[in-house]
Amino acid sequence: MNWSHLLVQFTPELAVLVTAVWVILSDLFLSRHPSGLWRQCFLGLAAATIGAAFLYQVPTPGVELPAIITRVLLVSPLTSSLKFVVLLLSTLAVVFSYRSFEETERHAGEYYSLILFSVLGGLLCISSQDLVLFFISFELLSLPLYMLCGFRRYNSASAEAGLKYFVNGALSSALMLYGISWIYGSLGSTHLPTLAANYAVVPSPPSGFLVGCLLVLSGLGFKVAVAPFHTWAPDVYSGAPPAVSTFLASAPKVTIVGFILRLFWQSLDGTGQFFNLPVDWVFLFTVLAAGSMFVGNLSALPQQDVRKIFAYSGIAQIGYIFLGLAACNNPHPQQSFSAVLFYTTVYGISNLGAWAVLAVLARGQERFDLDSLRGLHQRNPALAACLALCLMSLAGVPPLSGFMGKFYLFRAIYESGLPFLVVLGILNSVISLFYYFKVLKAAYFVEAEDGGTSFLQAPSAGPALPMVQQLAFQLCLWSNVVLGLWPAVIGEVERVASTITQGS
Amino acid sequence: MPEWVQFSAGKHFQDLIAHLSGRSVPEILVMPIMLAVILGFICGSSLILIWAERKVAARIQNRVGPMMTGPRKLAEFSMWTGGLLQTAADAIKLLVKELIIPSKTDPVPFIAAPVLIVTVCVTAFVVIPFGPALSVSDLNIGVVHVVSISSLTVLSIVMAGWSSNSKYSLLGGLRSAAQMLSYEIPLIFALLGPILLAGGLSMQKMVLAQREYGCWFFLPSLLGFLIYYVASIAEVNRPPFDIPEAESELVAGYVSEYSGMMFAMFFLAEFANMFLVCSVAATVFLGGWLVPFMAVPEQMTPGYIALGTLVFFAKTSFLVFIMMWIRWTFPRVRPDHLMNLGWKYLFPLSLLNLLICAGVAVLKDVYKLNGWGVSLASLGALVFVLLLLQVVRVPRPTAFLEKV
Amino acid sequence: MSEAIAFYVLSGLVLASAWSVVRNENLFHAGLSLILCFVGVAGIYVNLDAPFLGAMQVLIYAGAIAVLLLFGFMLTHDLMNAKQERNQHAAGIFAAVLMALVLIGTIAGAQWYGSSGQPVKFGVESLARRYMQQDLVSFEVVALLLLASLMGAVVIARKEEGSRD
Repeated sequence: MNWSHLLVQFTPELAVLVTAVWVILSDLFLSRHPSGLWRQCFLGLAAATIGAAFLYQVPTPGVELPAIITRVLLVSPLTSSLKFVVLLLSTLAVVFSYRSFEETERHAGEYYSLILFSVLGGLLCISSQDLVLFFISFELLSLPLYMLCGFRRYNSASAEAGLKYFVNGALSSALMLYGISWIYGSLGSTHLPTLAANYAVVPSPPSGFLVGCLLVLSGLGFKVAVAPFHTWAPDVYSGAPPAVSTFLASAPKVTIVGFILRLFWQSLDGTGQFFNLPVDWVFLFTVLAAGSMFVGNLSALPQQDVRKIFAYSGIAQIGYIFLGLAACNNPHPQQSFSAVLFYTTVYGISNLGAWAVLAVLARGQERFDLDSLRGLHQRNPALAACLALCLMSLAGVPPLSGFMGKFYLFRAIYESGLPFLVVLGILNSVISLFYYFKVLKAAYFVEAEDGGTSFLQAPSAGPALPMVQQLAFQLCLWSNVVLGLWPAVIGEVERVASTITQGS
Repeated sequence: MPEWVQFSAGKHFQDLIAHLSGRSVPEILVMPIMLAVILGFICGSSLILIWAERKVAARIQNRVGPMMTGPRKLAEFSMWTGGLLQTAADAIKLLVKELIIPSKTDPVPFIAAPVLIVTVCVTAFVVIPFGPALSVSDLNIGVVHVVSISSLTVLSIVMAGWSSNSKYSLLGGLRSAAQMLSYEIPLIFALLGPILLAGGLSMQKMVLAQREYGCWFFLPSLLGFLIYYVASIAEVNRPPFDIPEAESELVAGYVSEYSGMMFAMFFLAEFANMFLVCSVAATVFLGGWLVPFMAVPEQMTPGYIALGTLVFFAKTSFLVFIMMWIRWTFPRVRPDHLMNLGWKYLFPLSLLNLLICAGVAVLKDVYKLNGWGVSLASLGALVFVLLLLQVVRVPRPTAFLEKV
Repeated sequence: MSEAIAFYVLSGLVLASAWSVVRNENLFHAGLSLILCFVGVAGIYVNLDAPFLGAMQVLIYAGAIAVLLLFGFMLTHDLMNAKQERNQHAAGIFAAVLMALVLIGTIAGAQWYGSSGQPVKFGVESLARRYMQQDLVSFEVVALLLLASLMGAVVIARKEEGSRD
């Protein structure tokens, strides 16, 4: 047993935890200054991100960790890379939430520490090996989000978003917990490797286990807003402060897609036993995927509120990811894994960039209909450029990352022998082009009413964007290009994906 | 360890019947009979406690209290023994009075509330060790049983407050729900310290653990004892925490609309609960039936049982007396002060107590300190922390009283 | 035998009170039925030789959470007297019947892994040992979860600026 190795292996988690507690204490005893607290939060998350990057780069094989930890927390290339992505997205989300609405200044300590707790929950979620720990860290991920959505308590839309999200989230947690209890009852354990071992022993797949898996999947589906469980998403995303939506739309989704991959394929697959369950998983995932793609894309078409468009676009994007998950149901899913991982990452960053523009604009305006974006390229070219690249990437315009992601995803689906799904995906991409370009048209091709100075002259516009935010925008902007054009990234993702089925 | 103290009273009862009549009592009958015995005990003790309360109040207010009903000889002997049967007469009066259910009440909860509060009280008494081998049933979750069952008391009060359909009752019910839920937390956390020291939840084990330590647990967990005592005064809604039934503002709070026997049941439950919390305090913190300076015999001896029971009642009565004394001495606390006290002072201090108790357990188990050693260590730790709090200028424990 | 009788009586109580929670027009009565349901579940735990779990069920659910629920009802007087709207009968019944069919089918055909059919003697000590050893990480994360929710509750319930104290 070596505790210093423990510290090294869990640097990101510990850094986030220490920062969260530090922010609370500092808010209580040292200084309530919002930008100071923001800086502490940012630095902690940045340190954690760098730590995660190092851990990914420098794996520490043969390190003896205490069994009490390794039993429930897995450290593998997959978890390290997911942690890095989640931390990066969270750091960016924190950067963009700086002064984005009044409460981030009045209750800065609470705001930043809640975000940090949520991130910590996500990190633990990613590496949890035990369903009990998974459930608890999943709650740690979700609970702060309910609070954050309702953070503008005196704004009725925000309060509604918080309450709606809370009620739906509570329902999804209940479903999931019920499913976990079924799994425990049928296979006698909540520990994933033990579950897999027990599964290998039982003569026929227990029906309780199947029900448990389906319930857990629907609980997770609620969280990522996949089709039949998506009803909360538009109101929550548009009601919550845009800075919160920025976080909500990126890091938690990546976390949960990562966990779905691990739950359904890492421990339970191994030798492909998972398919013995009397369920057509391809069909199930396809229904979920097609449902959310069509619901998301078609509902987004008539929307006038940019936030609602983004929310529905998020539902549709999860549909593409579920298409990829449907393609993972075969004996050689490595390529589909890497496609899903890559697409999830790309989606996380592009979506975050698009929301971040709204988060920054929210300093000066309350409404977010298409008219409010008029002439954005005159008022703030950098913001408009970031919005344009991110949206085009989400739509899948070559040569941006979204195009590469979709191309890679569809190729993997095709090679899994599911050409029909490719047709579905391409059809939906075409539909989605329409509303993405509707937003772009408002930002680029419609002049502002008063000559394009409204944003700069607005009394609440405040000073120019801080340096860190400008850099973060550049990062979002260029990552769309780099991820699309730099082949080494895909090679790296493939390497990670090949380790998924190896288990612990 | 003398095993015999964990015999249950139900077992004694079965043995006794078998000894007297040669027939065995079926297991299923023992518990109802025992519960009936407890109910009788509660009624009897409440009669005496109410009388005692009136006498204590009279002494504090320079009056004589009830004098007329009762044996003339006792009243002539001393003014403090007069009127012994006054409460019995009151009880008979309440029993024969008409039960009035106001027309706009919600009848089912209205009638269920007083029944529930007495039921809860009787059930909680099941685990109290009145003497060595004299608890009705020494459940291995003893302390938790008392706490969890008592937590239903607040439900009865809420039911009474709501179903009476009167604003005074409703306000009383609301206040009591807030107050009892808030004070339950420091109360439970204060009990955690002794539970940690005893390494178990059973009440008899608690007593035996204090014998093993060689000191009663109020010494190593002094803070816990004080917090438990204060919180339990609030739990039973007695002055100075009688906000839910404050006569001067809320008529009688949740009991406003009750009359006759239903009123009497609330009254009964109040005094029975007072006895309950004091007997828990006596068991957990004051050594229960342990007789000071006397070893527990290895075999069951009737003499020791009698002596132990006497000692237990002496300790409990002492605590009950202090509660009465407090009632007639302190003014009522304001509701916001009440909440402040519970959440900002008692609760953090009860965590401190838990920490100190954990240290004490380590000192006892690892460093083999005896009872006096651990008591001194824990008192030292307590004084040190309190001094530290004074130095570091976090809000002082009494600051809330000055900010009126 | 007596355990079986107790089980059926308690199950009947739980089912009847749960039905009453869903169907009762009066919110306060529904809340009280919910408490009865919780107490019935606690009884089932005790019947299964898990008295600590039963006591905790009473303490936390019946004694604290449900009472807080009633407390909330009492503070919102309009809510208490309003008749509840029921306009999704068909959908609700459909979902409930479907769920019931699936669960009954699953339970009927369920194989329980490694179960002897007898309740396991599970004392407080073994529970504590499990919390402090096997599930230590989860236990610590629960602490964080509670801290976060406590803070969130304060944020949600805070007063407006200026009206502090």
